Amino acid sequence: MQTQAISKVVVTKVRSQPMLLTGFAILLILIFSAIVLPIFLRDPLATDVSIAFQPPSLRFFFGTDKFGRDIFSRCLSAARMDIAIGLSIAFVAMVIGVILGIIAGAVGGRVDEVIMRSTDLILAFPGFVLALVIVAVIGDSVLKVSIAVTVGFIPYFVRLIRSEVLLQRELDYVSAAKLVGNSRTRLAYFHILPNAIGSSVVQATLVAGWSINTVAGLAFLGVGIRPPTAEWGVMVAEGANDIATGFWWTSLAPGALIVIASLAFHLIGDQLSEETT
Amino acid sequence: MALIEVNELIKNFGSRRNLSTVIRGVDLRIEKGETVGLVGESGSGKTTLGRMVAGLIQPTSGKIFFEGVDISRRENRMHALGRIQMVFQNPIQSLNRQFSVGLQVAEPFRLLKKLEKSEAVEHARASMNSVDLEDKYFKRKPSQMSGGQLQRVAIARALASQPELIVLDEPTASLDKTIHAVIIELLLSVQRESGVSFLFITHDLTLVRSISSRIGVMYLGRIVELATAEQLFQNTLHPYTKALLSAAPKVGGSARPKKITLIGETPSARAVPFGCSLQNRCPLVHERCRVEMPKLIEVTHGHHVECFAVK
Amino acid sequence: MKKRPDVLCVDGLSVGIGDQNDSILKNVCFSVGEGEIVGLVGESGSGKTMLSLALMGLLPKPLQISSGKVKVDGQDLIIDKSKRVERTASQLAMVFQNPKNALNPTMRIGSQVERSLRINQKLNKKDARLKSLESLSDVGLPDPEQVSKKYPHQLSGGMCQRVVIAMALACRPRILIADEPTTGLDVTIQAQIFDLIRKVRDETGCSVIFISHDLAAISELCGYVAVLYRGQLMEFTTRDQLFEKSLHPYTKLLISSVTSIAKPKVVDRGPDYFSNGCRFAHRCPEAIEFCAETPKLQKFNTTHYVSCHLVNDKTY
Repeated sequence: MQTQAISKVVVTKVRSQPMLLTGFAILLILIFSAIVLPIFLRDPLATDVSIAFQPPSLRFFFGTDKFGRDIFSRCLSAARMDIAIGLSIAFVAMVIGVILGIIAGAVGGRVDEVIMRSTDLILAFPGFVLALVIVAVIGDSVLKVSIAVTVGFIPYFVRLIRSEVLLQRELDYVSAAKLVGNSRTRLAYFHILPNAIGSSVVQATLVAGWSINTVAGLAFLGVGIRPPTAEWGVMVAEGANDIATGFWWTSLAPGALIVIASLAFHLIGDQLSEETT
Repeated sequence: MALIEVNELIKNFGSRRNLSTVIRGVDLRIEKGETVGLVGESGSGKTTLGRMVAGLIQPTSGKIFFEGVDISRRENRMHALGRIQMVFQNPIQSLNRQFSVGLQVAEPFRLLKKLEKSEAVEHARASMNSVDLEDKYFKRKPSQMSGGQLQRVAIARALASQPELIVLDEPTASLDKTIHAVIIELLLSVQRESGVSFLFITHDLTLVRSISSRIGVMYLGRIVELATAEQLFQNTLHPYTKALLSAAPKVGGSARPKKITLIGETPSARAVPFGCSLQNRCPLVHERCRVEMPKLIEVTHGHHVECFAVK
Repeated sequence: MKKRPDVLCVDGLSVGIGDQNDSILKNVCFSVGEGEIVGLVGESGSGKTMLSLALMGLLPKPLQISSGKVKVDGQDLIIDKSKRVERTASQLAMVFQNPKNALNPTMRIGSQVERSLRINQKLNKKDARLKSLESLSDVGLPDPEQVSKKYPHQLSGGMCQRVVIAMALACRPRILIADEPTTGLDVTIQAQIFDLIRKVRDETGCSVIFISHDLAAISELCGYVAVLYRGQLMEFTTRDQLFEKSLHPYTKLLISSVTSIAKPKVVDRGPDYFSNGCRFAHRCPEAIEFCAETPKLQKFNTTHYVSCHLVNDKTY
């Protein structure tokens, strides 16, 4: 019943705001293409040097790269990976952040202090730098890079939820719920959480956009995702030098897609935050 | 034995340097089945007192006895759970906007009476029917109902655990005047049926008179006058109560400018003057009022006042 | 009570978003004489705040004045094409409900009052300072020098309201609109503010429109009373006639709910009942078929107007 209501609200809202609509549209197109189209296209890893460096054409929409791979297929395959990573990081960071934030807000005292100082520590580092440092420590793979980026985003959620919880705690409905027998845990997760989570959901969409940027950026530097895996950042790195020799299309497509994808998330997030404030 | 007995209750907020003394020594008794009204303006501490009796705030010192058990002590807090309930001022805020009202009325049946969900829902429906809310309202969310309806939901929820005392904190203040009577009628009929006691907190004097057997008037954290409704209105003794009664606008009569008997403003709870708290505003102020604090003394049978000017 | 010459005349004022039937205000007529305190009473949803915003030219975007006239000293303030009131501060000034919200929290009291004086009375800095201290003391604030240096959050609600009144009066308005100025203030402070309003009226001769849901407060303060319900004017008369000889069923209901906590006879046929006619019909215990049509404002006597089909000369 809850989800029905939520989806109804989402549909009406989306229809009435052009920005939100654009954001959703872009996202949907990307997701759809990423999932469906690759079935019809060429293997993103198949190399054929004889067709290397073909400019964009009807046969190869985005052209081919130095190994003769179809950039369009690679971009779509990368889309799958990047968007999935972006969403996963946002989701995991949100879940962990929300749990920590609720504990901090509801329990208070020493526990609150410990959690808050830890988040302060993490926030002292720029996310990108932090991710690099963590990867240097725990190692380099898709999973480990995702973990490294996730850690950097957890504090945002902790703070958001904590301040909402502190606010909601004082309201009458919480007092009334106490008087009808709610235990402290039930109060926190059943009553307060649904009222406190709004801003975090909005934040999650923004974080999804940021994490796509971060992961692609790290891959560009050679951290985390490596060639020959199709990933936007990797592809930009691979094609970076080609521009000098006149082959402009090899980095353009993946680079543009990074921007477009994170823009889509930002548009959605922006509009959602306007709705909720 | 009194249902509720409050002894020398004190409540302070804030740190040592920035201390707010909100309740400065209150004694009060509430008997079974009676309605005690608590009147006062902002800063009087009446809401804080109500919340302490309900168990939502812990006193700084003093005791609250419920059927003889000191519920201000940590180990006894569970003793009163479900047996003392509260209805809050703003019904829209006292209900969780995410859930249907029916489920919220069912909660005490599930959590306190330990019923299964389906049974609890049955009871909740019946409870809502008894406050004149038809079944169709069960699934509604608070945003889809009016203030008056929501307050009835809040009352239904409070009644679910069959409490012995309900603390009502300005239950009609945020509702239209034409709805007041409906809510008051409902409360009175509930009391007739179940014998529940009420601690009725309000700033509205006409209202408190119509529902209370005894009334306590609070000013700056103390009860300055305590008497039966009759006594309070017909033989008002404390200068603050007199000012309150004369300042309250009344319908009818002639529109003559009122003689204001209280000048100035209520002092802040952070800077309570030594001696009588009314000293900077009272027309009867004396030197003694500035150096000594008056005590609540029984002047005639059942009528207590805290003022040096009253013999 | 003889009616003094009109300072404000509101004639057939309707406010809405295009569609007439759903209008927030429908055909409201009343007037305010010189030096009178007129009360505007109604419950939530009656449109009384919207009326004050309409008079001040402060209606929020989609709302417009769809018809009617607003005349101050005979001059119609509604310029046809704009569909809103164009007024100057010396005609109408307003005091809002929550005084702390009406003051800028980042500016000292003194600066705010001075600013109002400099803009509205074109005084220079020095004169504005002097005048500001004078007006603060005029509204009964002890030690205006001290108060001037403080910020709004350091003052109590009652004191803030006095400051707001001082700022509204700085423009020397013909009419002061006070929208629930004492809601949320203690009753003992309310009495002080009422005294202040009377004093202001006596000393400056300005008229006051006092908006409230509290019939008792209106009874104390006002000479004339206008009763609103869901955007329609139900009754407009002197205070004495309102309480002793009210004619409209809604007025009678309102008065009875305040004077006694008696068992109410609740009638409610759903808000759509006769919605094109009298908007009170759905709750009126005396509604008849005629009520499907909007009742016209009838003049009962020179100081008593009612909008009700049940009232005509014969029933008096």
